[in-house]
This record gives sequence, structure tokens and C-alpha cells, in this order.
Amino acid sequence: MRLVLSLTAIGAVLFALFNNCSAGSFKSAQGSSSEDTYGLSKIRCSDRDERAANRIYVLSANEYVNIAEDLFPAAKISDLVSQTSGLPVTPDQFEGNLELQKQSGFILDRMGIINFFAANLEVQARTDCGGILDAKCRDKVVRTYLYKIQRRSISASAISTILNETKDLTFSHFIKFLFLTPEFHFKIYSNPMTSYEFAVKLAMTLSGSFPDDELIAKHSSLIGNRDAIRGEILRILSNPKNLRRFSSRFWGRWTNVHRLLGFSLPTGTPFDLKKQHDDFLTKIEAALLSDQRLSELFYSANGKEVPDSLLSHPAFTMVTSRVMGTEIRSNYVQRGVNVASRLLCIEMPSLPEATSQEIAQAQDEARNMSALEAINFHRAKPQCAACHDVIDPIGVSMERLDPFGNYRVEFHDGSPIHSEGTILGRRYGNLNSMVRAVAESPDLAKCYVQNLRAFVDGPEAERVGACDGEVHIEESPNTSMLDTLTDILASPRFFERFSTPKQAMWAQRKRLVTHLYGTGLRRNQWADSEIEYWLDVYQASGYVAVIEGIFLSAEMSKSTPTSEAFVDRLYIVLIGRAPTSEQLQSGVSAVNAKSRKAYISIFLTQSPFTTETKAIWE
Amino acid sequence: MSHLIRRRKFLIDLIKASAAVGIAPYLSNLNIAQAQAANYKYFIAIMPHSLALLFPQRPVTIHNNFFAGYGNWQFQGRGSLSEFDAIRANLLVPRGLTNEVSGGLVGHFLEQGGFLTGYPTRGASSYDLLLAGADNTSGAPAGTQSIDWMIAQAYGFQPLALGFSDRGYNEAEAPHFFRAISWSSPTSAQFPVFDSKALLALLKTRLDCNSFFATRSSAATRVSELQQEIKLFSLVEKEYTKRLRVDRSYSSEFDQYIQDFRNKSLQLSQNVESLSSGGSALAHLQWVCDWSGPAYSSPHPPQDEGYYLAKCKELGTLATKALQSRVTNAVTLSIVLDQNHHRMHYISDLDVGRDGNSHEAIISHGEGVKRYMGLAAQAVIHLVNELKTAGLFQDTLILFGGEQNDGNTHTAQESPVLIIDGKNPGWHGANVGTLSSNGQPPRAHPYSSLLVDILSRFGISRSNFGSPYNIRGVGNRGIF
Repeated sequence: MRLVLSLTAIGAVLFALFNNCSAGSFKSAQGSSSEDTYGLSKIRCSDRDERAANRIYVLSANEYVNIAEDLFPAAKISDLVSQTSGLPVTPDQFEGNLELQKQSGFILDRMGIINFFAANLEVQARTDCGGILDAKCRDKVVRTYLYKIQRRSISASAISTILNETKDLTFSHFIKFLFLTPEFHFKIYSNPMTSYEFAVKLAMTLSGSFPDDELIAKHSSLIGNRDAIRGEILRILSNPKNLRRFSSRFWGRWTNVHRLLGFSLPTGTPFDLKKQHDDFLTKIEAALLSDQRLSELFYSANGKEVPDSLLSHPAFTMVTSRVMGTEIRSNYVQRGVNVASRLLCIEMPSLPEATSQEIAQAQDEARNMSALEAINFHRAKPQCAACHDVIDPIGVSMERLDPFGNYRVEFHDGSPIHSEGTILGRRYGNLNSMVRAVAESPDLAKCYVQNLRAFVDGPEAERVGACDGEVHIEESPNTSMLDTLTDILASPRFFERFSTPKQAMWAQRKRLVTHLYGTGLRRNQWADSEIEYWLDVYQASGYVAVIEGIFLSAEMSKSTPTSEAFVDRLYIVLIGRAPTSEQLQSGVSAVNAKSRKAYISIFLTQSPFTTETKAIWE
Repeated sequence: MSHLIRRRKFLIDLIKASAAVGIAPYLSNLNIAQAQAANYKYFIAIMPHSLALLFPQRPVTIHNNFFAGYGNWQFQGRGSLSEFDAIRANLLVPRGLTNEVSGGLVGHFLEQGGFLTGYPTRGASSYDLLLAGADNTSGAPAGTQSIDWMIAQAYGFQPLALGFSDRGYNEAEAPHFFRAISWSSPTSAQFPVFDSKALLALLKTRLDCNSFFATRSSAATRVSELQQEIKLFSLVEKEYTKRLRVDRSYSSEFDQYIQDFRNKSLQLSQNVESLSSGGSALAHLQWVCDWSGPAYSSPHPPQDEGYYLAKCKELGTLATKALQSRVTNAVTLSIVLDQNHHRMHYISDLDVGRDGNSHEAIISHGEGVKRYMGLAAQAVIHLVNELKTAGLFQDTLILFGGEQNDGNTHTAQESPVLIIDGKNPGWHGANVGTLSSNGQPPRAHPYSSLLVDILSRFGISRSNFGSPYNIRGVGNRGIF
């Protein structure tokens, strides 16, 4: 695998650190030759402007629940679960990756959650303080719980400020205050992270909750220390509660098996959804902790046609089936899509409306055909084939397993299930060899890494650019799953966000143009197309053309009808403050004697613009 | 084109935009009837997805047999509007509105995505429409907002969005809808879009029903509690302001949360005043606070027609109570019966409607659409009666309609819409719009013009909206 590690100021340090690692499947970039291969030596990665901003994510429903479980072991968590079920989610992504949203009531609508936490902490405080809820008790509550609630290091002065500011509140309202703070609801990591934040993100990733005291005690020795990180991963996941949180939050979603818990089977169906779901995750957990390879989890020869595999597990066969009235039927399309799209990351072509209609019509036409006839009918239709060429080799072969995971050779209507063909460039002759082809495929390993990164780093994983100070994670089905997890959590991307200088430049220009609209034109709103237009101008003709264009617009004339207003606005927008009386007088005279355009030219070539803010625009 | 020429064009466009303010609106009759601005207090949009309705006068070239049956968008004969006879006095029918844009593209409003913004979410369009904010509808220009949102925001409210969920409700297509009161939070695991019962609980919290209940017993205790809460929210506001200073890139999000806390404090302060002076100022809260709530939680289109109608009526009652309790001034009701309009009416010669009618019955008699329209009309009439009983109808404007006039071909050369004008009982189902003299269909007029006109009736000036020309100088003329 080719590796890339670009060199930021921080990255250079990391480079040295990672080169010293003795274990692990990832490899670091081998000096400048790798960089030259990618032309990275031409890119300066020192622009920290765009990188400096925090990215903030909101606690997910499960994270609220996990934190409550860890804070209040005796609480009735089901009361909280009902409060969190309506929280917004990011569809088709892992939970916990939802960024802040501008939405009225976004925090206030969490009052049910806040009240749950506040009520339970108050009960705990009564016990801790012997029923005396005085100032001393408040101090104790803050010192004992706030670093867990807010998941950050709390200084003595911060404690003192909080106690002082809330002294007029009743004890109940004081407790409620702690759970209304942004640091409780939001996951805020600076860039790059502090070592404390690193420990918090590690804990949030693995256990979906705040770090325990042992992890906090080790926080300063973790960054860059792969062995120490691996040790902590094992320690945290050796707690069955944490292990199940991790497996359900990542594996449950990646495989889609989490949906099983929402199924409603016909009465009397001999299938325990919860038991099968849990058994599925248990199998994964055992493989993870015993350092198994990914391919082993998906294929283990047992001398039978149905191999020991996640794909043949009843939880997987059921989740890829459908309940139709009183009957449960496997669905080869669902199975094919689930494996191809979710587990192998094969992109399905998008369907235009017209094709969707044709497919609907084809489904109608195939209504009275046998299962086998319908499959062949679809394959013969060109508009269906683009997807079915991918879906069918997997999906049809998997039909050898009924919804309950039992082996069979016929569809429900008695037509034969053919289980041979080609998948991922490999011939297979039966279900066993098809599953093996999937398990040993590099696509599976690649997709696993891709999904694990999305789970760990959230949308950040999508945002990194060519300047990403990144090590490549080994994408091989023969790699230990624990090693891959360790590599990802130990990689620079886990604790630092990177962007290219070009990205930073465009972001900066966009901020300046929107500043001209907001502060300059006094607009609250504008269209993207307007901003894009001026960015084009910026690129083609420079910042002077942009400033002139907007300051000489009819809209600006209307907004600054007098020369005084115009000069005043120019100073506020371009210097960041109002002009002195001398500057105002001089500017007005220039505008009146010449023109607004002439004055802008003068303004842009003289102090204070040239000495104070010109550099920002350039 | 050099930047100088482009800039010149941009400036010219800006001038044209400001000149557009004086252009006569589409619904001139409505304006004549209502001379002053801000005539209406309440806005309700009702969206029965895909009515698969008909051209009223155009010679028909498709589905001839179908057109011989029920369904024409008119009162006469077997027109589908006859179902609305009971409220015909207040009903007017805009004609000639089209969602078909350049190149004969299909119109598919996808519920809120287009019905309340005028922007077709499928198929390209050149409309630069309602460029007024940060909320975007997928495919529409950035800033496109829905009119329910704008009407609510103009008066400091959030809109309420109610309805069945299966068609087109995803955040990418209609993000503004997901920002309505009733969307993100009041849901349950079983009903992840929204849950009517959970919604009522949320409204009770938002309205501070505890203060309303205190008017009947323990006002003094409640006042003391409220004063603590006001202090609490004031401190919380400071915490978010501190955070805002650190995380400037999230300034608009934090601004929103801070504003929420301020509004909450303001509301609580008003409640303190009300309780201190006897509590009569909180009387309007009774409509929600005292209501035991809807019987149904499910937002999904039910198979059973009786259930469907009961649920629709219940949503109408909920909407009325929300307006009475002043939790909002704008409500959308999406009463789609089936997520797939093709299945609901007809799609091909092989199709049988979801109502079980034969192909022949559907084609010849329009049984599917007839029954659907009958149910939808009953739900609307129920809503109007509720509004009348509550004394709100005379201040209400209702926009009812679907996005396609032919659900099979996805076209909307004449959008099937009607307006129920609570203020004026003199419309008697009149056609409004420019009809051609030879009985041909009226000259096509952008559907979005109607939306802009409606906004003007809520005191939101036409001058707030986008340029009449595409601002970047590409594409067709805009909406005026």
C-alpha cells in the first residue's frame, strides 16, 4: 500500500513519532520521495486559518443514554430513552455525526432530556451531601460531576465562576443549569486537540460516553503512542458494556443488523429478534478481542456448503427479508444490495424518474411469474441490468438461505435457486465459494476501513484534503480488525483536521465577500449565486474589482445616500471601525470633489487600509 | 464575458429588481377585494399529494376516457370541485398557473419542496425564486424558502407542519419542513417523522401550560418558579454567548439558540405579569393546554379510508387549536393518501388503483380520484368549520392543491390549486386568472407568482424577493 504523510508543522512531529512505532499494520511515508510522487512538496500546509475553527457535533440519542448509564447506574434509563427517541439524526450515517443545526428550539426541545439528568443528579447529590443542599454541596457536585458532564478539564477558577454565577438559583435550577450548558450537549474538539480532548474522543468513540478516570490519568501520554492507544482500546473494550456499545454503534449500523430490533414479525414466528441480534454482535465482539482478521469473521470453512460467516447468520438473513402480511420472505434484491452497497461499498447507479417508472412497470409485469422467471425477466431488461448485474450474483446465491438462515435449494414457490456465477472477478460454484469471495475481497477490507473512518471521524473524514497529514491504513482482509481500529485511532486525522491552502484561501475569500454583503450592504440574506459571482470576479480581477463593484452598486447608493454615510461605511467594512472626524471630513471632501469611485481608489492605496487590512484581502 | 460587463449586468439587474416592485400581481382580483396590506392573520396550506387532476378547458390528448369521467378541476358537471360545494362561497380557483418550466420539463413539486416554494424539486428550472434566506430546497437556488416559513417568521413564529409522511419527506428535499415545530423533536421510535401525541406534549411545554394551570390554583408558587427559570435562562444565554465568541464559524447556529433562550425568558416574563394580574392574559392557552389530544399517533398514510378521514380531521382540529393558542400563525397539512400517486390513480393500462377499482372503473369514471377528492374535501370542510367555531376563519387564507395535473406524465401546465378565502364569502368558486378568449387554456403563468401574492396579503412585500431576471444572466426570465 502506498502511504502518504504530508508535513505540516505538527505533521513533522507526528512523522517522527510514527516512524518510531514498532508495531502495527500502517506504515509511514518514507521521506520526501513519497511527497514528490504526489507533488505535495509544492503545497505549503502551514495555513492554519481554516483549520483553526472547531467543528462541533451534537450528542446522539445513544450517547445521552450511555452518559446517563455511567453517571447514574441506578437510574431508570427507559425514561430517558423515550425522551431521546425523537432527536434528529443524520440519515444513513453513523450516529453522533450530526453537526450543529440552526433550528429554532434545537436546545429547548431537549428539556425532557435535561430534566431527566437534572432530576437524577439531584437525587445523587442528596445522597452525596447527606441531604443538605447548601453551598458546600454545590461545590462538591461541580467538582465531582462537571468534568464528566461537560467532558472537559475544569479548572479551579472555572468552578469558582460557575458557583458564583449560579448562587442565586435554587439548588434544582443550579443542577438544571449544568445540563443546559453547551458543553454538555455538544462535542467540541479544538484543532489540533489537546491531550485531554484526545482522551475524550477516544472514550466517546469506543464507549459513546465520557472517559473514565483511568483514561483521564493517562491522557498526556497517549497522542502518538500507538502501543499505549492499543492498550487503552483493549482496556476499554474489555468492559462488556463498552464493547457492546461499540459493536452496536459501528457494526450494527454498518451491517444494517440494528434494524432487526425495529422488526415486527407475525405472531408466533419462532425467531427471537433480540437474541439473534445480540448473538450476531457477540460473534463480532469475540473476533475483535481475539485479534481475528476481517476475512475470518466473514468466512470460516467448516466443511459444509453454508460457511460460518456473518452473512449466513440468521440475524443477517432475517434483516434482508421482508414481512409480507403473515409471511416472511427473503428478498434477493435486498440481500444483494446490502452486501454490495453496504459491505463492499459498490456504488449503485442512480435511477432517473423515467427509469423508476419503467422498473415499477416491470415489477407489475413480473407479478405473476415464478421467482426464477422474474429474476431472468429483470436481467433481460437493459434498464434493470445496470443494477441487477451487481445485485444478482450475490443476492440470488444468498437465496440458498431462507429468512431464518436455514439452507434450501428452492425459492418459496418451488423454482430452483441457482448458486453459481462470477462475483468480484472470481468464479463461484455455490454459496460457500460466493461467501468466500466476498470475505477475501479487498473491496470488503477497503469498505470496512472507509466505514470505520466515517464512524470515528464523522463528516471530517469527507473534508480532508491533499494536505492531510495522513498515514494510509492497511486495507487488507488479512489484517487484524483490532490493528485496523488502532491504526485509525492512532492516526493524525483522529486528532487533527487538515485542509489545503487552496481550501483555506477560498474560505477566506468567501468570508470577505459575505462580509461585504452583510456589513457592507446591510443584508441579512443573500443567494449563493451572488457570492459565487463575486468569487469569480475575485479570482479573475482581484479584490479591488469586488470592493468597487459592491460599493458602487445601486444597492449601496440606496443604503448610503450621503457622502458621510458612504465614507463611514467604507471605514467600517474595510478597516473594522468608524473613521475619525478628520478621516471622515477628508473622505467626504474627496467624494464630493471627485466621485465615489475615485475615492475608493484613493482609499485602497493609502493608510489605514494598506497598513492594517490590505493583507487580508490579498 | 469580462468581469466588467458581468458587473454592469449585475447592477442593471439589481435596478430591475427594485423596479419590479410596481408590477401588477397575478391575483389582481384578490388585491382589489383586499386593498390594505396584512389582511390575513393565519395561513394554512393543504397538500393532498398528486391529485392527478385535469386541464379544465384544453382539448385532451391523453387518457381520453378518463377525462370523460370525474375529475375536472371545476364545479360543473362531474368536476371534482363539486365536493367543495359546502364552502364554495369562500372559494376561488386560480387558473393558468404552471410549474412547467423551460424545455417542457416535468413538474413534480414533491410536497413542501415545491408546493410552498414554487420550485420544482425534480427537473431543472430557471426560476430564481424567493431568494430570502438560508433555507434551501434541494435543486432550488440557495436561499429558497417556503411561504409557510416566511409567514411564520415574519411574525416571530415557527410554522407547524402536520401530515402523513411517506411522500417526499426527506431533509434534502425540504429542509425547511424539518425545521417546523412539529418535525424534528416530537417523534417516537415507532413514528420517526412526527407523532401527533408527542407533538401535543411538545406544544404544551412550549406554551408553558404549567403557568396556565396555575391560573386556577397556585399562581404565587408558579410566579416564584418562573422567576427562577428566567434567571436560569439568562445565565444559560450567557454560556452560549461565551461559546459563540469562541466558535465564530457557528455564529448563526448559536445566534439561533441564544434567541430561543431570550424568547423563552420573554415568554416566562409575560407569564409572570399575566399571573400577577389575575391570569386572564393566558386564557388563550386553554385550547391546547386543556385538550386531551389526538387519538392517533401515526403519521403514515393509512390503508383504511375511514381511518384516513378521521386522522385528517384530527389534524385539522390540532391545527385550529395551535392557531387559537397562538403557538403559530402558519400551518401546513400534508394529507397524502398514498406515497405513490401512480398507484393511487392510474399509471398504465395494466394498473389497478389502490382502492381496488378496476382499470376500467378508474379510467372511465375516475373512481379513485373521486373518492380521494371526496375524502380530502370532507377534511377541508371540517377544518373550515373548526376555524369558524374558533372565530378564526375570517382571518384565514387556505391554499389547497396538488403539484401535478396529470400524475401519469408528471406535468403541471395548470396547477390544480384553489384558495379558500375566509375573509370573503363572495367568491362562489370564481375563476381567477387570465383565461384566453377562445376557450383555450389560459396563458401560462408561474405558479410562484401566486405564492408571492399570498405573501403580500400577509404584509410581506414583493420587494423582498428575487430579481425578475436571473441574477447571473443565464436561463429564462424570472417569475414576474
